[in-house]
Amino acid sequence: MASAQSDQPGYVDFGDLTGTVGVEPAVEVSLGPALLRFLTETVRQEEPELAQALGGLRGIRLNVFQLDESGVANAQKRTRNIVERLEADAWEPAVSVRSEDTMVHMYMKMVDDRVAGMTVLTIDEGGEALFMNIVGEIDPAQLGRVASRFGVDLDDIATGDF
Amino acid sequence: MSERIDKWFDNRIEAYVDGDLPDNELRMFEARMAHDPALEAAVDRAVSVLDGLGEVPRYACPVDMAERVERITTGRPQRRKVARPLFGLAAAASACAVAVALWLNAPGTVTDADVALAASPTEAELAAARSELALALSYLDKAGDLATREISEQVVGGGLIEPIRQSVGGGRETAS
Repeated sequence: MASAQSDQPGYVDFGDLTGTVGVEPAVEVSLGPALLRFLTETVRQEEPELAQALGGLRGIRLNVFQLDESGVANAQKRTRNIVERLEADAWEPAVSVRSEDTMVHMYMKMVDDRVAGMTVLTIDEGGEALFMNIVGEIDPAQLGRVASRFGVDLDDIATGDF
Repeated sequence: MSERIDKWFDNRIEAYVDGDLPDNELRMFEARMAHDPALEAAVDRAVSVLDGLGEVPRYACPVDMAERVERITTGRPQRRKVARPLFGLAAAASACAVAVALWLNAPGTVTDADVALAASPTEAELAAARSELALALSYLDKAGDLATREISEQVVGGGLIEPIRQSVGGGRETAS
């Protein structure tokens, strides 16, 4: 079925992540254009920079998995596969770094010299795998500044205190 | 009754029902209505419309609802129209009701995304979305920290000269 997000150049289909890594996501976020628009309006007065950062977004999708060794191997394989597709689709690497037990990829989709999408893929040494796709017009620096202010204690997510 | 006078009174029915006629015009209008059954009937119809609108449940309607609905049903943006003064706020409520009716009866071209665009979230949904946004951005921040840490370790270790490519034209993947 047609979707306002998937029609966008910054959209990335991650496929069946749960099937790939063998577990349900520990965290799953999916914000579509309508909710983002309403959120933007609700914060416009008190948090203008956040509103500005959100203003061009069409979607945010996030899946975080806590994986064992075999899950990590499968996630690494899927990540490499996604990276290959991104590069084939002319996504630009902003950060791409890999060590023995850690992988970080941040890619941008450029359209007419503007960022039209961002994809973040990470696997850390603790077995946490993150797949994130932000769709829409993005100012990465502004989004980074805004993101650093939220300060959600992510360690509490696993314990359900959030 | 001449056509010109008819038009003069017709043009003032809306203002009369809304209570917006100036005193001198109000006196003329009521004097005419007292012996003109057609004008009186037109006023009654206008009042009925207002009363009917008053019985419509009051839901919040996004200001651009009509435009969204037309975009969904016809695939093209609605032309901006100058709001008619008739019935003031009631006219806006009416437009909203018509838009909802159009949406409910739209042909099978409406996608999930379109429905999502047309629906207003509740306060609880907005609060949940706000929490999800905070979560997503916090994970984005965490990913940035992880990237910075990895890059620092590799640069300090001398194993990587150019681990980070800032956005456009940066080249391909670097791995240690």
